[in-house]
Amino acid sequence: MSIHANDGAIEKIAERQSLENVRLATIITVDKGDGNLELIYVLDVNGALTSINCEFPQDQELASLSSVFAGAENMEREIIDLMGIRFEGIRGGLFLEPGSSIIAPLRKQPLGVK
Amino acid sequence: MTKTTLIPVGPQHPVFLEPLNISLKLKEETVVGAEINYGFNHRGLEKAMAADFRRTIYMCERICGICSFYHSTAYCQSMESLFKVEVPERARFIRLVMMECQRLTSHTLALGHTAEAMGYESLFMQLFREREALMRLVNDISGNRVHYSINTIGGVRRDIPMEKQKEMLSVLDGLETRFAKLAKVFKDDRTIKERTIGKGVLTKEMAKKYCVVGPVARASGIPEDIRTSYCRDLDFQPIVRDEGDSYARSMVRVDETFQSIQLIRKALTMLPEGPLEVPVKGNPSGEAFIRLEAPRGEVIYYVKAKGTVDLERIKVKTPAFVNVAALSAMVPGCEMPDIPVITVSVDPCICCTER
Repeated sequence: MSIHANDGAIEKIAERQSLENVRLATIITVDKGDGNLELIYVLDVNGALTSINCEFPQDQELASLSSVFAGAENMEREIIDLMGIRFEGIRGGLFLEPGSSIIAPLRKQPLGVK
Repeated sequence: MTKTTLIPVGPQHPVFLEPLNISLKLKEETVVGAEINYGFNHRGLEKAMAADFRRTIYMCERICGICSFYHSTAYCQSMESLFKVEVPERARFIRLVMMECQRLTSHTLALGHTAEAMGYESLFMQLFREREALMRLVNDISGNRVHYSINTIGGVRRDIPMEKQKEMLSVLDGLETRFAKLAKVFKDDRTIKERTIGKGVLTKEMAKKYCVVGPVARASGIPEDIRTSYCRDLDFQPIVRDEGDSYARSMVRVDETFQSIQLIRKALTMLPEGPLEVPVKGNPSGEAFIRLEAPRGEVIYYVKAKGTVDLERIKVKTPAFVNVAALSAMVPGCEMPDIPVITVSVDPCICCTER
């Protein structure tokens, strides 16, 4: 049973990585404006860009892709700071100072300052 | 038992041009672990860039002073994709020429910076002398040294007339001859080889794990270069090495410098006649992914628009963001005095990393 909304996406990425030449290009997040957020994993598969999307409620914690790609950790840390999404086992504070910066400034409605 | 010592390198350090912190764990002189910290200069540009798509072109060039033209080109291509317009062939070639000129300025800066980090001041100055000739050349063509500002949605705003093309070819001929001598120093100098060979090795497996791009990936045996797709009519082949060390990263840049000169020559020969831009009207809507091969590697622009002047989302992926993080895999096992050279061999750019 899936615990996180992005478990399926991570499984798909891990499976493709074991079969093909896959590189994680970037992770994009979009605030849908209806209480949901969208996560887009952008992959380079054999030289062509492809994406795997998942949508989830904005207060949900997600699984980290860093066990598949170490390079995903900083991408997720950036998302924690700028979009206010939580990833299991990953801390924020890469770009914004926790406790004294605006929270989730890239959301349509930033969450304010602690 | 040897005690572990923690040494912070940066954020203010003589060898770093921008704020970057590497927290090193040392046992005697040997590095046993490292944590890479950045974020001292974050500007929130992605939020600002989404405010008005007509002004974004001005702002995205200010993300970085070294690869500014790549940012504006990727942004313009994203918008052209949303507006469903095809830029004229002449504009496409002019963009390509200017991008390769900027690669030359970037690679000469990176190589000069590497020489400086090794204490090789005369090589640093000679590389910067050559870079200055390039800076004057791009200034002659675009009117600007750093932010060329010749891109517009639908094409380019400045032409490269025949007399400028001749001037360009003459500058590149001189540069190629002089740079060949400097390349020989990079290739054969004993001190440079001792400071870089076998230092800061990033294996192919680790390079894939850390998702590195550009010269850092190609120096670790990954034959990825986005130019393979958009420079296919110029007979482009990526430069790849297998060693994965600081020497390989510098040598990829050295060889790419000659390659860029060749690409500019070919592109100028093939420069078609025709208009420079097509008119674009209205507001964009839809979603676009565009990527280009900047001097440090892959730049991706994701733009989502909803038919108004403000954009739903603009996301910029820069190569330095992933390459700098891979330093934590390169430095373990190295000695403390090698850290500055290894760091600089990655060509870190904090402006791009932090946007």
